[in-house]
Amino acid sequence: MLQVNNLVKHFGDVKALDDLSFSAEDGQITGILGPNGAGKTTALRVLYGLLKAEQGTGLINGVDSQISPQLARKEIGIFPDKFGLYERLTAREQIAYFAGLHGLTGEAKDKALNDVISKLDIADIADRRCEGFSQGQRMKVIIAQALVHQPQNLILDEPTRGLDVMSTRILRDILLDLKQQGKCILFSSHVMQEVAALCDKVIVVANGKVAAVGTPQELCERTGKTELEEAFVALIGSDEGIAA
Amino acid sequence: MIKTLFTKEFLDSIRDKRSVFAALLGAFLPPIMFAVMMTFVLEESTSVDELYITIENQQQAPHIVELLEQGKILHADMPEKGKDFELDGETVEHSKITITFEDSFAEKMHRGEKATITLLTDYSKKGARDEVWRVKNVINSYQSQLVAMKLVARGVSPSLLSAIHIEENDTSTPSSKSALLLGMLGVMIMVAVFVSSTNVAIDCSAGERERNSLELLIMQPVSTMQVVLAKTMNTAFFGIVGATLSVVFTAIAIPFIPLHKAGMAFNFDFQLGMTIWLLLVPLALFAAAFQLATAFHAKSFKEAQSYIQYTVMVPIIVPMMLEIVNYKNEVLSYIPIFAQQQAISQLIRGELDSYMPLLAGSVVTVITSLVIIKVIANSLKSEKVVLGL
Repeated sequence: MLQVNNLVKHFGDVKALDDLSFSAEDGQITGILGPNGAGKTTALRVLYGLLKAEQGTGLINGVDSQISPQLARKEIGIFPDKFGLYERLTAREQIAYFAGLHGLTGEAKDKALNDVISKLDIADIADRRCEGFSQGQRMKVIIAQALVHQPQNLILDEPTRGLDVMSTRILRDILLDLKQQGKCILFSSHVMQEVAALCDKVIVVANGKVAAVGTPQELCERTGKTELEEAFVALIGSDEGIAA
Repeated sequence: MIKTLFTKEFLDSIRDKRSVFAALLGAFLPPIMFAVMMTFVLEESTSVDELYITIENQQQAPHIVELLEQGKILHADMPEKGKDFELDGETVEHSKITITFEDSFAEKMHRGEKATITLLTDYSKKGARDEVWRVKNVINSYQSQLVAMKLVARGVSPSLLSAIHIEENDTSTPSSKSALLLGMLGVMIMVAVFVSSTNVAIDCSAGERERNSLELLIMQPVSTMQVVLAKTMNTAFFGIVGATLSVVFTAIAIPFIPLHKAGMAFNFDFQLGMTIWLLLVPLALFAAAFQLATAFHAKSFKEAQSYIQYTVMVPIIVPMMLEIVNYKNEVLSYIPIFAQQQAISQLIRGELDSYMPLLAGSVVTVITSLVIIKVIANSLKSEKVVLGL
């Protein structure tokens, strides 16, 4: 369960977050849609406890990440907007590192490692160094390290960027599987089809505010459009920042 | 937690060929530089160059010619032009000195009359006096031997000739002669600590930022203090490895360098090596914190390299200058880098009175390093850094 309430944040004179509130429930995939610069990444960074908001709270399973970020972060797995692997470590070492950062040790760590490696079907690359991995393989390793401590919540910031069709489909299956397990999944994206196909709930963000909330279906009906893309444009009032 | 962080940092660095080579370079640098410097100094002080002069009428005094040859003063014909001439395919310089034995030299010597040698040279030529002195020295010593033998033959003690004996004593002790060079060795071992850890420092800060893995790391449930501590420990570890190897290599190399030829005496024993090494441990921590503080400000590896190449001047150039002018001051013993320079310099020169300043300097260095680590940890929490990721 993820929740942000009445976030306000300025960068100099620019109002990045303007009383932004939304929530993502367990057992659902929630999408954040918004043009570039709408405040998606800023909102997520506040939720991680990386940035301080001037007002409002970011709750992860009820723990305020603004007050106790380290405690709150234990309950999330993060797929960041820019990610880099440690090229000189093997995939297994990389995932083990993050397991260790979340406090797993000894047998529990080994078991968690083996589970996540078999679940994501990366046993064949697990003991290879990350240099030379394809984008799809990298994506799987990042997902594996985000899930190794079995967090209740998974946050993905534009996860499909740079992925080919096959990798995107794999990612989609992983997310649907996690949803079946009752996890809470929040992801931001520019890609309308993906959001339409996956999300139970869509939050449209523009100018640091929530422009609309609902299922993809509801958003289309509310704006009288047949495609989510058209609905999105109608909601934010421009076609800026949309990827096909 | 620190163990997890440190293990990963160490694994990451030890697999980085550049980091490992840099550490080895740092380790090998001091003994190699020292050996090169020593070789140069030894050549200067021990080798006597051949002096080429023109000797006319050699047959008149074969003994003197032989003695001159033993003193590496050799005959060569005066070159027609300039002062250089060919000898066995090499170009050598002629001193432009000519000595001529008069035609009746041998006969006059035989009869015990005063024989004449004419010495012809241009005294305005640079170094001419030294060259003439060498030639005269040989002839004079031949003469005094000859006179002594003549006196003995007439039943007179040759000691009558010298009423006063000048005893020459060189007050420059072997240790003080070598002090500057050995002091430089100390500075170079200190430099090794920095050189060995620079690459690791850049790689795990600016490098990690450049490769986009730093952001994800600080989003994890770890404090930035833990992250910075682990990185500093790893960086310092490489510095210490570099320092250890360079102390060991120096200890191994010194007995092979013929220091006594240059009138030097220096005993790099186990106790000295150990004391220097112990001084270098806090320095390695400081070097790590100092370089990380610089590199964390950079967004890319290259940017960090260009920053560090300037900031690292301070810990290299300043101790070197202090060493050259042999500046000593109480206060310096309580400033990181200088504390180590002063201590190592005094240790090597054998001037150390008490171990207190060493201990105090080390404590100050460790405290300063911890303060820098705290500052870096705080800066990683700042919005400017987060947004720059």
